[in-house]
Amino acid sequence: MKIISKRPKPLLAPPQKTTQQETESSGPNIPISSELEECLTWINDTFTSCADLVERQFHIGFLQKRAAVFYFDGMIDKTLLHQHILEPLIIASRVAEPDGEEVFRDFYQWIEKSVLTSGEIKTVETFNDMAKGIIQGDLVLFIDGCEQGLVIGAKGWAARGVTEPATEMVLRGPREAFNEVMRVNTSMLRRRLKTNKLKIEARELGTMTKTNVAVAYLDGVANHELVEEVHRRLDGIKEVDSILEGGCIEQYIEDSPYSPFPQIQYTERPDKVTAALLEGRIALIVDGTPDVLIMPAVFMQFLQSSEDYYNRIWAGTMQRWIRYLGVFIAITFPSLYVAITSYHQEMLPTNLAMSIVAAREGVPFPAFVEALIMEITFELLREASIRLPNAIGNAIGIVGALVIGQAAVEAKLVAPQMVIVVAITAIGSFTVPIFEASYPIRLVRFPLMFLAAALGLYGVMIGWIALLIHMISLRSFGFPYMEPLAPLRVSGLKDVLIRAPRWQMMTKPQFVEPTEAPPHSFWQRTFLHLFRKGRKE
Amino acid sequence: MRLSKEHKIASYQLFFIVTLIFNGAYSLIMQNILGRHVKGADGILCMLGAFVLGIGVLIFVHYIGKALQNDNLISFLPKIMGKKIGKLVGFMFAFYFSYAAIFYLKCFDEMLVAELLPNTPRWILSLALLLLVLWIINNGLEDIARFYTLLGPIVITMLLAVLVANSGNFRWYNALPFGESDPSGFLSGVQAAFPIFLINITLLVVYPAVNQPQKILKVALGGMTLSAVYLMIMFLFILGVFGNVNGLKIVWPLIELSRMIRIGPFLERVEAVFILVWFSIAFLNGSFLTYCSTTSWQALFNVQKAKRFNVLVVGVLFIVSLFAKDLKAIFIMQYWFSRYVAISVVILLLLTAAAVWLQKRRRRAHE
Repeated sequence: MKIISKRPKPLLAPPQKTTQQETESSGPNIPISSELEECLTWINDTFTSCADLVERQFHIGFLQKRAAVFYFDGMIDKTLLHQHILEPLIIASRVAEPDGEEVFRDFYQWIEKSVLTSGEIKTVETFNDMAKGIIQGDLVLFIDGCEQGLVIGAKGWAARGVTEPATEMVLRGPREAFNEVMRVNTSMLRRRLKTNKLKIEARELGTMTKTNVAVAYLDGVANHELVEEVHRRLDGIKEVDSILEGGCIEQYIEDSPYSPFPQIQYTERPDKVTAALLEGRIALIVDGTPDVLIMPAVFMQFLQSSEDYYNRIWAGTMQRWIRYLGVFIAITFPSLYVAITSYHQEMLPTNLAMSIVAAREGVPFPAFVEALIMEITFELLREASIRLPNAIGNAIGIVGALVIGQAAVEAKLVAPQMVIVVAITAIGSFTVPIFEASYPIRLVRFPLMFLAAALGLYGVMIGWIALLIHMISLRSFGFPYMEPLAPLRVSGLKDVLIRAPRWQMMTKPQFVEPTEAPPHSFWQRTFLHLFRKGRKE
Repeated sequence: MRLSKEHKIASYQLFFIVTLIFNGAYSLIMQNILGRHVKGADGILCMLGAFVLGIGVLIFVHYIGKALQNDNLISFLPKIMGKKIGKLVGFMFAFYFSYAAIFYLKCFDEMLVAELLPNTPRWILSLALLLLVLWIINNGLEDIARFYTLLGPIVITMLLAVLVANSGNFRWYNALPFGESDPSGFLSGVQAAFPIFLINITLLVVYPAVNQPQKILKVALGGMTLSAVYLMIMFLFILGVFGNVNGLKIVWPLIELSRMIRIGPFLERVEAVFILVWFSIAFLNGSFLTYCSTTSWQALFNVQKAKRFNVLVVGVLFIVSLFAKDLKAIFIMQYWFSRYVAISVVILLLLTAAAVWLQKRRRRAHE
């Protein structure tokens, strides 16, 4: 068995190590000193020129032992700091009357078990671990005379709340989307999959960014080889400096990074990720990214929307076919127009042919150049309007409509039919429910138009075959990208050609040889139930 | 579905390959060829005769294929025939696959020039198609088989559609006479039609690559029968639509049939669509035959860097194909195909089968 493995070299050269970095990351593990002054010096040396580092010194309880906490301002929850850390340590510990011997024997244990009321506490013994805690947004506590430190979980930075999906809107279905906080995202999955089989394995990527990444899968449903493969590929990017977004990881771990087609799906919808996990796929949750990566991905899944499964069967099926038609139109319509008007006019009904000829009268460009101008103009408008505020975006739309729809036609730069072709092509590309998948569709349109201009319909066919050769050769984590069409998997067609009833699709997960038996279908359950009932009677 | 890439093809994929390979370029010009030997619907009898001979070939292919196990045909031959003779026979098989590939691709080029792009130089059409073929053969047989299963159902539907759409134009009396050809004409007709079914020799190349080799015979027989039935019905249909004189002179019969189709008052001429369907078939069969050719040459010369070598082989095929400049050259190629190449290949097949039989006998005696 050969699984494509990628162990990319880091894009950026490793930075020159300074004393400060050595201490932070890969330097020797220096044990924590029992002298508080030494600890303070170490921390201050390590985090020089870090204006947001807060140091707070105080005395603990009745013993009046000197202590200090460190944290980055803005990264911790201040309420938690005051109510569950400082107040218990400074005030509540005065009234606590521990056994004196116990206090001196295991001071930290007393602090952890009897004083602090915070939920996450970890005892560490090296400066490196303390520094790591601060960097991660936790709070660290040093106590004079102790050779240990406490890392107290107090993360609480400002984050965006759970909002509606911005790019994957549905009319029917849940309206919540992931946000940038990894724990919020994992909690959304936990809330939907109430089983201990949901495994979330954490890891850290990026030598500088130390981005938290979680690999989520359903134990017993996901193929363990696939899980290992995901980890193996993630291992390959350990030395990369920064992981700023899920897209950075995607480029490193996908099978064919130079292909225009995405081989890993990203989604902002928790219900979609839940469904993917149930199918045996693996989700990658990246801290700081409001999208979750799903792998492996096949092309047909980019043309499916969550809504298809919530709507009625025929509605879901119809929506899918409309999308397929939309994709076909988005890829081929301009090139068909170019090919037919340039080479195969005989294919057109006489009246239509005459109407096109009459409309093109006075247009100085050949059909190909005309189509190219219009398509490029449309792409310019789309690119210009996509990142503008809504009000200006609408204005661009109006300008575009006027420029393309009226002025260009009246100036005889393009034929009115061309405007219709471009408009239908654009609408076709908008039917793709996942924005990521519409990029390759928009991209391949141009070479196809060129081939149509050079070789007519033969060129269009050459372009399509080249496209299919490429798509058939693609793999996503070793799985064929064009599945279930090529290779043909008849059982998979009920989720492609139609949207079969739910009970017919609850069979063996697609991406696995599961270690668990698949759930019984609706009919099996019904008949088994009747059978058992009959036997009892 | 497994995580790994196994480089094997399934028997259902083989079915699509077999079904479409018989409907390849040869059937594009078959009407005209048979029209030179027999009268009216007697061409069906010729095809039936060729089909029976094809079954015989298939049985021999299966017999040799079972002995191959996981070996390539060309590397297997020296083991049973000795190095020199084995290499020579291997060379001749590789030559046959290359000849078939060029013939199939050139037929399509010629049709394209005649029917769709009369002003485009042939070499551009050939080159475009061969570049696609080169791309997919470098991806391997698995991808070729996937392409067959992806396009196969569409192509088969279109092939049936062209007949159904013309059913209104069909007249039984146009297809007559039947049984009036003289026996010598009938025999030469069978010989002319035989290369269509001889192409199942290519199965020898895919034998080691099929997941369930025990199913190959059944699958191949099924695909071959379906194709034969389709070809016979198509033959009859063309006579029934165009008459027994004109119908036998047509060079690109399916294109002519598609030209007759009218879809309401709107769509008048849809032959371009059918030409594109033929392009799909030409691409699929061209890919498969070129794959057979390249793997055979690779095995013959014991080549390690397959992709570079494939470029060389495809380049040679392209240059050789340039010598066939027009339709006349295609008919000459067909004549050689049925007269010399087919007979030589059958002799080679029989020799190989005999060698396999001797080897088995020797092994049994040794045991």
